[in-house]
Amino acid sequence: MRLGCQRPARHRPWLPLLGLLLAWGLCCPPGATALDKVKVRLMWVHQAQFAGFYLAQDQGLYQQAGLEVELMPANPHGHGPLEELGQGECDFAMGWLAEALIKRAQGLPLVHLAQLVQRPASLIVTFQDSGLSDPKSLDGQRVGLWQGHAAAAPRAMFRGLDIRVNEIRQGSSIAPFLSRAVDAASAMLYNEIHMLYQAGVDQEELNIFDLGKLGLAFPEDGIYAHENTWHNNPDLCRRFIQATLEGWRLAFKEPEVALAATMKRVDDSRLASNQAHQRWMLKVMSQIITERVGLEKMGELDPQGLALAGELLFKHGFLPRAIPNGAFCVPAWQKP
Amino acid sequence: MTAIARLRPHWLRLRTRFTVFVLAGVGLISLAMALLTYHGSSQALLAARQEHLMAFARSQAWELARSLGQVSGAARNLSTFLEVWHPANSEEAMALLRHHLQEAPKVYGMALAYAPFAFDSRQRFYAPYIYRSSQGFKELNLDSPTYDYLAQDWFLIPNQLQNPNWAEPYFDEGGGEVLMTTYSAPMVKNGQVLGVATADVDLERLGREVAGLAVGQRGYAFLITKQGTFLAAPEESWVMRETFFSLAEALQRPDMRALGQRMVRGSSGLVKVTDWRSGRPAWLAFVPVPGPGWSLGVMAPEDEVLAPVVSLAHQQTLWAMGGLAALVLVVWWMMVRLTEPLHHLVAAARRLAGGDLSTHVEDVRPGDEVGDLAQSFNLMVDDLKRYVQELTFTTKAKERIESELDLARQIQQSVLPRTYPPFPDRSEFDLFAQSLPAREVGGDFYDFFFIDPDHLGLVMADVSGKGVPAALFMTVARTLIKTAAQHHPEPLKAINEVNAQIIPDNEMCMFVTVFYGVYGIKTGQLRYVSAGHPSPLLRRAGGQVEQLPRAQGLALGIMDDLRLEMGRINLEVGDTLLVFTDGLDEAINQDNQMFGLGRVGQWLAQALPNDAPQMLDDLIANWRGFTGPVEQFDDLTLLLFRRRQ
Repeated sequence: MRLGCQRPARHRPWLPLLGLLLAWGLCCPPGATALDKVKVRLMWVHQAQFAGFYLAQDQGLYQQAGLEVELMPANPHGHGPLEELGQGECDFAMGWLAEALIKRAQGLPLVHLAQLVQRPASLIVTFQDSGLSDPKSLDGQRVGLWQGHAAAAPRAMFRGLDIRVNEIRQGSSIAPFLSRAVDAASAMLYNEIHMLYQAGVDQEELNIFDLGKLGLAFPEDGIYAHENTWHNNPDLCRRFIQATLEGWRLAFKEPEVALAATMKRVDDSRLASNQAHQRWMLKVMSQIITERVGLEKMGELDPQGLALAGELLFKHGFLPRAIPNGAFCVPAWQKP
Repeated sequence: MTAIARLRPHWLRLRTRFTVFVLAGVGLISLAMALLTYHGSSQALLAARQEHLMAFARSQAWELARSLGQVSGAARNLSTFLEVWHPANSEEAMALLRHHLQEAPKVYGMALAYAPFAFDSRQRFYAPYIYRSSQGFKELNLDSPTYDYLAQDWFLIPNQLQNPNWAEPYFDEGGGEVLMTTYSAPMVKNGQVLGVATADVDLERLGREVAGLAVGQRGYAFLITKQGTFLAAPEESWVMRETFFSLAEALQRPDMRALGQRMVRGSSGLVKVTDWRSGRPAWLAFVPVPGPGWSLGVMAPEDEVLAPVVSLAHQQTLWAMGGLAALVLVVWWMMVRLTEPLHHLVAAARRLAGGDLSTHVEDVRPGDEVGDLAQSFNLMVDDLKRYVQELTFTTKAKERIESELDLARQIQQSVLPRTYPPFPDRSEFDLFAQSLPAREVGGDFYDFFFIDPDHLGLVMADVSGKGVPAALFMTVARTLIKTAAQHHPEPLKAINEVNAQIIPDNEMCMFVTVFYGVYGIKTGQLRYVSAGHPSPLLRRAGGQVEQLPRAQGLALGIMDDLRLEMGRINLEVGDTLLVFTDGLDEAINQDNQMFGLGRVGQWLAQALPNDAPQMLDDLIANWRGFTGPVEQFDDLTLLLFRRRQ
């Protein structure tokens, strides 16, 4: 059985290292130019949401771009990745547009290098039997919200609806929602919705509020850097973004390879996830990343999305002005 | 014989046939009974095994609940205690934890996690944790920038619900560093949650316990949470990572998903499923584990569940085959016993057919049908023997009589003049006579003799009756006629005399018809009497045929007065006289037609004037040609006389 065959790699912790050494030995003959070391903070624990990064790393795309990339999963309970950019803990970080706009308005000089997720996948779910059948009914309820990057859009929605909810800090688990410790929970189309399905909850048992359809169509996953990084080494940024986008193109072309690369990291991290879930996630990612832009213009930020996010966040008081000051978007995603 | 030869022979001998038929019949009945028994017993056994499986699952779930009760009890005790007693400092708190952990051997680790500022109004977080390691108890503070315990399920859920909760399995990185699940009991004071007291279960240990449940040889047990997540599974990699529903999704098994929903919703049941590991039919018993609300599943391959049924069926088959083999032996032995006497009978019959009349079937016990047959056979042989003896005797007697009759015939023939020519020195006439008796000895006779040198007597007689008496009477009559002829030249007188001599001594009332003629050689005149005898036929030299004028007269031996008349006729040279008895004209053929005087006359008219013997032979041949295969009924005696000079 395929599922049963996945042995946790912790039994052989030296194996990835050995693989890296081998790859390095093969691709970089002695005397080759030294690779630029970069640290990348992902948005979440290892999962298919980042499959393009994994393939770029595993298939040597970063190496070909002269990069030695360290992909760091996020701690769902820890600091936000964008904050780490400010603290210099990483060179590149993933973040959502709304959060990035707020952070920049708050004085963190970050620049947008590439937009991955074009269509919002943020949802809020309630159980049908709870009677919470429209967003307004969330008033006064316990609502699980991720802190940081994901909180802006729902908070904007609550303010738009003029309701107050009891925010409960949500982690990577759906157990609080399932055990009714919260009345509503944040969910991603590519993640929690399917986790609920894998916990035996049928779609018919849920009310799903799609934030995108409720007028909060904020573009989500993007890649950011400190503006100093961009100014000092735009070539490095371009090489990183191009290799990453190439990794995504490869992931959509070879989903099984992407899945294997994902599962390897899931196994290594001893995460409570499985292949069926990651396969689902990769499928959804393929849809929301290529929507509007296709494979060629992948990485482009929709100006309308940017404008909408700015306006809404300004309207609800998250931003002092609707348009970010200075050069927020830099065309690192464009092929030279 | 031909009727039997036309029948198709049997393929098999009686023994084999009988054995095969009995075996087939009994075999079929046994098979039907075995199938019925198998069906019935398999149903009963299956029901019993299912009940057993269900009971096993239930007892194991209770056992598990009892074991987990220790864990949850430890945390509950701690939380209850802390609701009324507040540790003064962290040392006291840690000592309390250590004490509780020592008391609960099934608990891997215990924590006290306080809500912000609940332990100490100056301290935001406080969460001491103690767990077992290979180096003994280890202590930790869970409060760290990377381990936000307030957002962990084990804190958040009981905190929100104000109720104890079993967390989903997780790898406790930064905590116990093992795959675990945690029971958390909130400490509630005045409606406020002060924090939670937790107790951890090492899932590897739990997995070993569940995996250690003996479910046959290939069966297994598994444990899933309320979310369907595997806590214990036959595949180690499923634990924590796979849920019952993710397996169903990967295997595209909607039935499994529906089953999982029943399980996580606390149902219990027994269902037949296709085992998702082996792909073979299996029985799954599932029961909720009281307390955490998990579901314990016990999977038993159907062939193992049915193993006793199958072994029962094997046993039954073996017994049935053994029984059939014994039956074959018994039937064969019986058939040998039954057919052995038949073989004796067949051999005896063959000996009998070979002519051995002394044969007997000796060693067949009487009392049954075959014994009766043997007895009947012996009786038949005895009867046959007696019959053959009688037949032999009768044949011998007949042979003796026949030889005697043959002798009588020879004697009788010898007394009749048989030579040709009868009188070689007399050339005036041609004369020959012949007699064909119907039986060995006849009653007809003829005679011719010279009364004096110029007169020739011709006699033709037919005695009533046949055989020896008639022959004897004939001899008497012949002698009497010959004697009387010597005394009386006149035929009429001579015959009357003979009658006068016969009448007195004729007690047997025999009679004789006689034609007696005296031929004058010089004159050519024939004087004759016919005492009840048919008139001879005469063929004139010219060829015309006539019957001698009839002379009246009765047969001799009937009455004294014969009322005889005497006839006279002159024979010319070449005239031929045929004297005969009624055996000639009254002989009949197959169509019951008489030969008749007409045919005799016809023959006489057309016959070539040969010597008398040749002519008689020709007539006899003609006569035989007419009668064909019809047995001669009456004596036939013929006399031919022709005048030559």
